[in-house]
Amino acid sequence: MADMYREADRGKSLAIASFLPYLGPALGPIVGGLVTHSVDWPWVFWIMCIFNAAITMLGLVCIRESYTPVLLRRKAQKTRSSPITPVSSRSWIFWRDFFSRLSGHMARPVMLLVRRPVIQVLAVLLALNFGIYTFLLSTFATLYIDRYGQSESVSSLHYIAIAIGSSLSAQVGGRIMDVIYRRLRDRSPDKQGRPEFRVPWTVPGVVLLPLGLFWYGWSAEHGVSWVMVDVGAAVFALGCFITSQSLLAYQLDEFAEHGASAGAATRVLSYVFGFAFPIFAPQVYGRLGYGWGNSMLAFVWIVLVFPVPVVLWLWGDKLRALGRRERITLGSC
Amino acid sequence: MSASMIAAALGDIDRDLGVDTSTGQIIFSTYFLGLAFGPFLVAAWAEMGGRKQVWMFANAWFILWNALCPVGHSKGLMIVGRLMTGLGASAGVTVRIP
Repeated sequence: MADMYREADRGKSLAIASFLPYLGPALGPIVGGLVTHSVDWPWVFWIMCIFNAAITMLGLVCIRESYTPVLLRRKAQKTRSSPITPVSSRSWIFWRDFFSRLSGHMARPVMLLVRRPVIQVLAVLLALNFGIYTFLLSTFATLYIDRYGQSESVSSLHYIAIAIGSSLSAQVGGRIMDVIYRRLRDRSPDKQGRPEFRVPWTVPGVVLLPLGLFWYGWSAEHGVSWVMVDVGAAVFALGCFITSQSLLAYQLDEFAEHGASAGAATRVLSYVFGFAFPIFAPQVYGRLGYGWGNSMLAFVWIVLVFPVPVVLWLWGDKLRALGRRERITLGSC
Repeated sequence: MSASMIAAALGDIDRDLGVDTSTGQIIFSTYFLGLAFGPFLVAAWAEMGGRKQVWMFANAWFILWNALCPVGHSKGLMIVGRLMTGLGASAGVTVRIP
């Protein structure tokens, strides 16, 4: 996808590609809540299995192998006429090659994380973003069940608020980000795009996230109508997804050909935070309550992330240059 | 989607498995741990054997472990199952997205 769409349309391409993944985490609980309420909770798992099995069957029939190196390899094996015996999978040579190729592939994301400070910065930001998101995701339903006394199916409907926030960011935000990028590019003296032109769009994301947290937390704390709580959650989701959208576009702009490795490098930390944050949610909410608990997260975010758009705008190109190994181009000798 | 679908059911799961809220949260989030480390294996396999092969196997793995999660109302099986399910689910992200 990085090759299919130019930088100026990156927002649109990300929007198209990410419509379902953005909706997924919000729609999942709705289905889950309905099933838990009407049937037993294990069926939430089993319905997911059935759904996945259907998709797999579809894929079995419809998907064709598209990865060129593998296709070429298979073709070579079929047309090879010379008596080269393929290496048996039981021999140690096969496994030695296998593991050296395996480690080669795993190496690039790790190398990026180690060598490039910009990846480290992006990884931490995206991880913090995702961690707070999963923190909220894991407790949103129980907020309504415990504090507002709603049933599982009704409580999970509130995830629609999060889905609204994330869809708005994906569909509308993506286009706005592209417009900003194009305007800045056309206004720049050399008419060249730079990743820093994504940075202005991080600002609404970075600001809306804690705003949403305060709104959501204090509405829940005072037991205000669920409308207010949901609006807060939607604002938070909007901020959360705008932040990740703009930072991912920045990352993709910088690491165009190694987009997959860069993504893998930052995603690992995001998911590790996504694993860790929900675990201490019960203690945080237990000791601080919804108001101060969410406010604490918001304060951490404000302190760590508010400087980032400024830093990236002013020194982004220097940060990106760190650790970059310049390609040696062979001129004519 | 499968990450958060059990969000509303966490209370019931905690009750049936006899665990406290924190362990319930672990059950929720262990899935992300699987998503974190799956790509290493998935990406390497995809490079070598092709994407369709990996995707099919990973989906089968996902279905198997996701079905095992609620079996026996066992805390250990649930957590391990969630981890394995995450590993399988990571193929969807790794193989499709550039």
